[in-house]
Amino acid sequence: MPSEFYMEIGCEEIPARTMARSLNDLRDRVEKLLKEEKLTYDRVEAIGSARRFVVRVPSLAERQESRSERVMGPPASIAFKDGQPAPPLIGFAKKNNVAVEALQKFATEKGEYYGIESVIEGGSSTDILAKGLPEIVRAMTFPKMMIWMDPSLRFSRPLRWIISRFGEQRIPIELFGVHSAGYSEGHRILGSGRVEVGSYDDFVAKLEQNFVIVSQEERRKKIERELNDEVGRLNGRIIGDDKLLEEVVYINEYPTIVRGRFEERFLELPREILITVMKEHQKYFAVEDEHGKLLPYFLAVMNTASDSRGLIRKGHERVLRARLTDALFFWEVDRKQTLEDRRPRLKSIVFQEKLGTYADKVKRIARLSKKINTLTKAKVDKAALEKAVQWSKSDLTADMVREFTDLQGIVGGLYAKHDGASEEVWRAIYDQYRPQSMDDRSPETKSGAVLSISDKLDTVLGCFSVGLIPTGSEDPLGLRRAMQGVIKVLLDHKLPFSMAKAAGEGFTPQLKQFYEDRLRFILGQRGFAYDEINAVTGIGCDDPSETLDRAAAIQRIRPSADFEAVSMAFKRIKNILKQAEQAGQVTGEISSEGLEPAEAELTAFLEGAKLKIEKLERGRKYFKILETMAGGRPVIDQFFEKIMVMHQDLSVRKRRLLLLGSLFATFSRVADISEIVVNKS
Amino acid sequence: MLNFQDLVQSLLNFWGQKGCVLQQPYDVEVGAGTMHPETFLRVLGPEPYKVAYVEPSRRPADGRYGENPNRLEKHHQMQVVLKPPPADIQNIYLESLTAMGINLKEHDIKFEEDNWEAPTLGAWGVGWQVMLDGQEITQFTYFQQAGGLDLFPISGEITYGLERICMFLNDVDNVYDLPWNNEVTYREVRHRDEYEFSKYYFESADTAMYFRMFSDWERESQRLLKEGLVLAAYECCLKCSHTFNILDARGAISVTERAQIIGRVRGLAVAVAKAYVESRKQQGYPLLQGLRHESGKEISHAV
Repeated sequence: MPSEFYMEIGCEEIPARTMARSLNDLRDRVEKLLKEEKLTYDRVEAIGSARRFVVRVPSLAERQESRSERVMGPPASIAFKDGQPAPPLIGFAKKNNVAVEALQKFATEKGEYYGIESVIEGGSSTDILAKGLPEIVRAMTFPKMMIWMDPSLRFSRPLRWIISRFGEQRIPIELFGVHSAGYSEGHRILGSGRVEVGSYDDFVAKLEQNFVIVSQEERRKKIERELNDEVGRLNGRIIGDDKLLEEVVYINEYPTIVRGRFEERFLELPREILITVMKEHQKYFAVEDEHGKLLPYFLAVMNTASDSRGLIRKGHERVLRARLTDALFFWEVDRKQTLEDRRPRLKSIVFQEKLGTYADKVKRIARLSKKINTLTKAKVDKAALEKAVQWSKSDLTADMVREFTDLQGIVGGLYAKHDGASEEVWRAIYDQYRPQSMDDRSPETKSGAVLSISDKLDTVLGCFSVGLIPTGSEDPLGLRRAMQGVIKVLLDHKLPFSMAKAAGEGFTPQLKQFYEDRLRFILGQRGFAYDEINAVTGIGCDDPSETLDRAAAIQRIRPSADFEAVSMAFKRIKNILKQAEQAGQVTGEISSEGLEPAEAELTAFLEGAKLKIEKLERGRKYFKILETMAGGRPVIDQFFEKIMVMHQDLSVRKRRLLLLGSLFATFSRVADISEIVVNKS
Repeated sequence: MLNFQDLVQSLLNFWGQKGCVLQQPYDVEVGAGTMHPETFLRVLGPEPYKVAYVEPSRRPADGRYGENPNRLEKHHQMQVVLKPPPADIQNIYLESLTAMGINLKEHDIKFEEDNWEAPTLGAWGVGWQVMLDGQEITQFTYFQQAGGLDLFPISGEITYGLERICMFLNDVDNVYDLPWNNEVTYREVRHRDEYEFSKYYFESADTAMYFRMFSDWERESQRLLKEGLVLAAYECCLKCSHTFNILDARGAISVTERAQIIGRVRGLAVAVAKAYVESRKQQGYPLLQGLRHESGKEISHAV
């Protein structure tokens, strides 16, 4: 009978940022084991909190299906002689250690044979899990691993208890010197130590009594519910943050919201700074009113059930007060010096050992940004861009940024504004590190876009030039993110570009490949199929936004039947041209002899299309180009139906090959159409 | 409510009762309790050890002339090392909080990931910062490497920030308002110290002399290592480290020099660590006599 299985791995506090990934990993590994072992199950769930990984299968077969196995012996035709077992049969029985009488006759495709059928019992789930689970847990990897009791065994944090239960049975498991037993542990402070547990439901209920909510979803709901209750009372709203929510879900085994207040005088600080101090440093949620104005409150997630004496609130308020006092102090003192005053100090801050200081970086960005401004036709005022670049890194010397590093750029922008810089200048500085991820927004202004592109591209080019090139999963300097940032800004602002020209001498084959991989990644993220991406990048993709336009055109025309037919014809053309090329140059004069109607019609179509396409290309009307091409289907089809390209007469052959070559080239301005995979069914 | 000295005493009592050797602060300037030989050297090699002590920790760059309510050029750490760490080390730690009068059920306690690293010592570990109502009060680390050597058995290190905890206990926003005992405040005992040393480190320290001293201590350390005087060599290494911190606070170290000087201190620490392991081996691991590791296995001389 199928039964429920669950396992709990009890640990010291696991880093919150790794939990979600580890739970998925654990679930996938268990699922893989069950599939490989052909154990029938309904589903695998992974749940967990700071001190536990739990994996559960509500319904798991008791054992593998039993299966029968046949061993074939001699054909029936020679098995008996004169009604008596013949030597082949006797030999077979002897070899397999069975009596001749026990052999059975089986009908097969090749006729009747004697043989043995035996039933092999499936292995029990208990045995399979007892063997497989320890291997699974030992194979789990974490960004940072440690040893604690055996120098050869590593895990995220010390493992302290194990429950592994299948139906009513305990599955014996040993991991890191710990044996599976029948107890779990509740909340560190509010729980009553070891807790005896039985079934999964009992486990969840007993832990809840001991102030642990095992399910991350339940904890998330509790946090969201209480956050909403609190902001409801304040007539405000939460400044949402999925990353923060995810973190507090996994840090706290029994999350409860506590509301704290800070003095109104701190509201003098810019909103960005207040939010960062609360969020990044204290993991508090900030609150704003319906008009988007920050309120002097914060919501903290505590790892306990209540704060009956208000001590916890008071403690959190004290800590935040100290932090905000620092921030206010920095805000007042930092601004006594302008970003221009601070600039010389960049000489003492290293950007990267081999690439020098931030003063060196600013010099490089200054050169690169002029080039980018021209290439992208962004038309940013030269003087404004120059200023933005010169002051872009000065905030790294400000105490505010030294204390709250996530505020780099933002603080620079705010200080520039205070120094009296124009909006074009301060906004560029403010936004220079955006986008931080593919979900983040790009800089708002053109000047910000140029600065952001220049800064990121300088980092990539610099690192490539000194051999710091990302490999596999190693990308400590975040170069992939930087290159994706460059591409995203170009796409979001629809700026023309040439990576080859921007990179200049730095445009090595490695960099080209790196850039194209990032562009392909982004196109994939935007929903383009791999063959569409192959088709558009196949003819070059030096300009990201132009490449995106071409991809969009392909995607749009793709469902049309004419386009499908033409793209198949193009595959054929590509092959013919390739074979002809391999066979060597076709020599001889082009002759107009024996010009057949189908050939003439295709030539006429091509001549007409050429003129049209040139105009369309200038206007980047890629879809129209493809439409024109699809419109050629009748003449193209007719050509292949009637015309023999590889004609005996070499001059005719050459004429026809040239026609196809010209056709192919003309329509390959949008994409290498032959790359499009056509579903023939 | 515990005043500063009672807090120190309650923690020393607590860990003394848990079998720790109660040590005294090291009488050489250090930046953290970890640098005391009772931690840095004892965590090396196979011998078990349990120790607790207060360490006045000097961070020249953190000086604020006595004007900042939270930041000090010299603060006090309570350092505890348990080698190997017992399986319930976190609970024992929580008991120590109870021992200082904190009712844990009325507070919000979290162990948040924080992995410690000290490049000048070639050391790193994995662990948490312990948060009490949003305030970091302790650094809790399982040492993995020291002096560039893989460690086994592992040591559990607990470092309490005494001023912060005392401020929390006394509900005080300014460190100088802490009662040192029932008669004098932290200000009366320490404020002039902070002022003078901030002025010294930032404005007055003779950088030429310190550069000279750095090289002298470095040479002395290297010489002593050749003579097999490991403990004295380590002391010279600590002198280099403090000298570097002063030069750094004084702004006397250029960017390119910085990495190089850190590398030189690390070079000494690594050489000392190796020599110390060898020296204990030659002494026949005095603390290993008749002891077995908690897992029941004979402790392997893995280091």
